[in-house]
Amino acid sequence: MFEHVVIGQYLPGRSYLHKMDARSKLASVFLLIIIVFMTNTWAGYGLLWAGAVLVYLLSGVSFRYIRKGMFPIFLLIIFTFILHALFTQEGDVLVSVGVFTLYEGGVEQGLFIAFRLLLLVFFTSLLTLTTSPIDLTDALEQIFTPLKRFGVPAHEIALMMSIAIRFIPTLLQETEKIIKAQSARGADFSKGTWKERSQAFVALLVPLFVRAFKRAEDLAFAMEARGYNGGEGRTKLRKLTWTLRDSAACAAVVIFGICLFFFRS
Amino acid sequence: MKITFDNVHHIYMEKTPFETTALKDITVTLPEGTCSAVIGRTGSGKSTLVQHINGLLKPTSGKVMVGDQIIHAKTKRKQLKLLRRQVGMVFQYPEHQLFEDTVEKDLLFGPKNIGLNTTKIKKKLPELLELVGLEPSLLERSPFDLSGGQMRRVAIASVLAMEPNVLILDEPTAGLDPKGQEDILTLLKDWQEKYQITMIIITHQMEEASRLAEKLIVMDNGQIAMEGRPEDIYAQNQMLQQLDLDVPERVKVLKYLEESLGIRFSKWSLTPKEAASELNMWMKKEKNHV
Repeated sequence: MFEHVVIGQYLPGRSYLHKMDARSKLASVFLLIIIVFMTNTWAGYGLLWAGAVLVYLLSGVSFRYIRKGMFPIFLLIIFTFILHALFTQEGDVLVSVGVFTLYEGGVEQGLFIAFRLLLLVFFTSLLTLTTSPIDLTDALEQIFTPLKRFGVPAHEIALMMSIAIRFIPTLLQETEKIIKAQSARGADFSKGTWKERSQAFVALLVPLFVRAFKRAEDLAFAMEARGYNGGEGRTKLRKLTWTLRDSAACAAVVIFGICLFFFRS
Repeated sequence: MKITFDNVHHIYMEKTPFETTALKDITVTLPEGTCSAVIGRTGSGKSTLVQHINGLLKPTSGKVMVGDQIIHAKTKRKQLKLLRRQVGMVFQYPEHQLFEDTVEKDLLFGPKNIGLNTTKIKKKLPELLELVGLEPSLLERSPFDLSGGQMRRVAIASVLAMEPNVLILDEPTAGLDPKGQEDILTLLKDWQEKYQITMIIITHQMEEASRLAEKLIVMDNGQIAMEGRPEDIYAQNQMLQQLDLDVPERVKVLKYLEESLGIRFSKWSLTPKEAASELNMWMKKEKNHV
């Protein structure tokens, strides 16, 4: 039932992107997001798409996967495109039907926004598709560690994130199980009146929350029983290693950004 | 209702890197009005198999026939809903599905969903609770105040309240104490005999299977490794051991007695009492011979 949720999913592999250090991937994606937002010309977006294709080829992820991951955002993108196209009144008039007039500037603006959203989702999904959640939180912890001096609880934040990520599949499984159990008792989650459906969802949410709280309590007890006391002096089983590959990738992204800067209007 | 699997395959997450074949080429018949047990180690495809019977899963290829309804890869949701009126399913740890603020409401959730006469069923609830070994006064209590064993009974009752013609139970005794396990098995057996329904029980304990079932289906790695009457299956000791299964202790004792004394028992699914009386008869007969 939740077989098709792709956002945040990790696909194990051995590609260039998979082998990169999670920190360099995070940094690159961060830079790429800035670049995507800076770009405002057709040539710029052309180059960005070329870059996206290159990154995609380096990821070794099958296109079907990316398409599936992008699908839920597609509606949002089409919606924003239509809004921008209709309500921006710049440039020459393209067509005019009834009260709606389509301006050249509006279509351009709409396409740019659509491209931006698509590229954002594309780069971030590639990040999560090629980086295991554990590596990702480890990387975040290390990036935040210098901020500890200013009272940022880096380790605790990372721990919260890894626990949250760790329990997403568990909760999805649990949800699927309860949906099945209640369906077997005749509940229908997709058909019926609003009243019937909301009743069905109560039958899903109450057990789900009860279980989640129970789980949280068990986890807390288990951690305390093993003497867990935060990040102080803690060593890591899996060390992140920064290699030439990572420096090269980051340098490439920076150079790419500088090049694109000259394409701004 | 008779249940027939015809060449059923099931593949989870087809066409993704996580693709796994859960069922391969399953062809089996579960006779009407009897109890069958599906047995096998973890991950052998037991749960996947039974979820086809009430349409929670549809076969990737092949078909499942429940009574005169046929389920195949393209069966419509509407038909599946009809099917669920006939087929009750008690999941593993069914107490996790309780959600209403009183036991009574929870018991009525299923019957209401499938459009049964709730006023009529409401009158029968105290009786039903007693049948599963609970005080009728619990009806007004919150299910979350009950003990684990009590919750399990309420959850089982909530499926029984739907008066299914086919009842599927996925490890109904998992995690209960021996007394609780015994009680649940007895009440299921009684219910099955009283209403002559078709019952399917999943378990990984031979002991449990032998208590209830007239037919055993042993699963391994998504396929049916053995099927038949319990007696015939116990005879294939070596095969069972390969599948990490064991002949129930009771049967082992009977087998040992047969081997060492030369006695013949009428069947291997004897209760200890029956076995004792057969042994007694045999001993008397032997004495007379001497």
